[in-house]
Amino acid sequence: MKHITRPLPTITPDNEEFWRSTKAHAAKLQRCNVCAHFWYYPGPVCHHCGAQDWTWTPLSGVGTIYSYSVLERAKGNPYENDVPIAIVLVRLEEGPVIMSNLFDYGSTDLAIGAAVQMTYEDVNDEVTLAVFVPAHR
Amino acid sequence: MTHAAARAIISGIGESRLGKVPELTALGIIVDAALKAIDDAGLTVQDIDGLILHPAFHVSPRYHIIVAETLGIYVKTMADTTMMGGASYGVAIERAKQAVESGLCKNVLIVGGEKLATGHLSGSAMMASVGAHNLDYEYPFAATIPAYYGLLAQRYLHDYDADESDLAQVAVATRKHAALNPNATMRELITVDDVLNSPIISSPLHRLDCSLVSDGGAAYVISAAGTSKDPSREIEILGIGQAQSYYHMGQLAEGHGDHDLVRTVVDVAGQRAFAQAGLTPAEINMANIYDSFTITVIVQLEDLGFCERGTAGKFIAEGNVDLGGRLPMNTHGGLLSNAHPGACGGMLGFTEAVRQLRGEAGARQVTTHENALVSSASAVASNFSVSILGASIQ
Repeated sequence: MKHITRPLPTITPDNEEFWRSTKAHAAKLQRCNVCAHFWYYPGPVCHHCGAQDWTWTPLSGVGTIYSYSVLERAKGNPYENDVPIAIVLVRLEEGPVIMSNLFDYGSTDLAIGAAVQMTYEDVNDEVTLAVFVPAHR
Repeated sequence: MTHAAARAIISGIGESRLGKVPELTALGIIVDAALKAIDDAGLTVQDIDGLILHPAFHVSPRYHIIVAETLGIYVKTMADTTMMGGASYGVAIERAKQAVESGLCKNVLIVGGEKLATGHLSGSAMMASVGAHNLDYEYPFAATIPAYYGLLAQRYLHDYDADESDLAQVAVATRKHAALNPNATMRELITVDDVLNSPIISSPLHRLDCSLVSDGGAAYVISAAGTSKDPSREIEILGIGQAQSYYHMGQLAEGHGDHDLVRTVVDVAGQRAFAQAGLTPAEINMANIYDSFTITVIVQLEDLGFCERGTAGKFIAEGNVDLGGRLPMNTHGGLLSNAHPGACGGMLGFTEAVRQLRGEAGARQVTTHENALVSSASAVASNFSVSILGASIQ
């Protein structure tokens, strides 16, 4: 996986369980115990029904590309020398749409609707990011 | 003293020099624009009793007070900020209108000025890009503002089977108007091929799909009708509305009812403005549509009802937004070709509309100038203000 100098997220009580799950390479999101929806990003209430009652639930890791953009110029940003970088919005099988990066893709893989599989990038001792590769790889 | 039945109007406008303004600080630009607007209204600084601005992302949260202090506006019955990025200075007019019409204020100064091109604070332009979106769930994936709009544009092209040349039409049409504006930064005519041959910034957006990075500022004063130096130059606020949806790109993509990433809530803001003005899109004489990127214009033209969804590129290619066309658009050259000094860039659509409605736009004057629609947008087409302004009825 190519290197990207990444700005890092801040771990808080709202999201520490999420970052713990990605570090274990087994991503979980909150699933509402009232309306059964998953939501993203992690937070203190269900985005769909307002319930404060959830279970951290493993994700299948399967999703499809909702949209994508290949960043080619990023002057002044920490990752300016790491372009091109494929930024994707992935609709997870469980419902939420999350922003991430796609790696190891061929010319036909970067397409809206294309199936992708979640994988993990261990950035440092604290942060592991959920990223994606084409599903067939 | 009461101000019963006051009707708020725009009494004065001002603009600083635009482009690269190394000789002035942001505060200097703000003062320059503010004093011009106050003078244009025939008022003095002592007449101002309300102030609204959008502090740049790197300055003090009390920046509005510092601006008042610098200008010598001591007692104010309203002094506030609108932290809504590019949409701030449309929303500010709505606030000022309410303040004047309720009797809270007599004359509200709205002012902004930023230095993105020659900023003295290193990295301030980068901080502006960071401020636009989420640091925990988006920025770690190397998203920049052009990347966010690239995600929007790619999905638009997919949903409507459009292509990059449809986006490029916006840049080409806008540049024709900038060529007639002696103050515009980019005045050389361009073609669709020029846009498509310019380097990709974040696909599918090329450099010429992206707005400029400029210094500059602007101001306007909102007062009660009939109270300015020359009421025949007062500009009516016929209708105004705002609408905001969500923030994270994934949340926008998930959608809500009829809206999602590509089908924005600008229709809600527009419907409020059209209803108050008693006008339909077909009756609008000209429009200054917030053009942070070409795609920003495309989705707004469609969602505001000026053309069918998926057809904005064709609408522009047919000459509808040219001078002499059905809906002259961004007659100053917009953020794409005139100037884009950060959050206050959207003010330049208002100052241009005022010039047009007064018949003072020179070589780029539109023929019929009874009304003008001005939109402003921020946070990747999730946050909008739509105003319909009218020529003086005095």
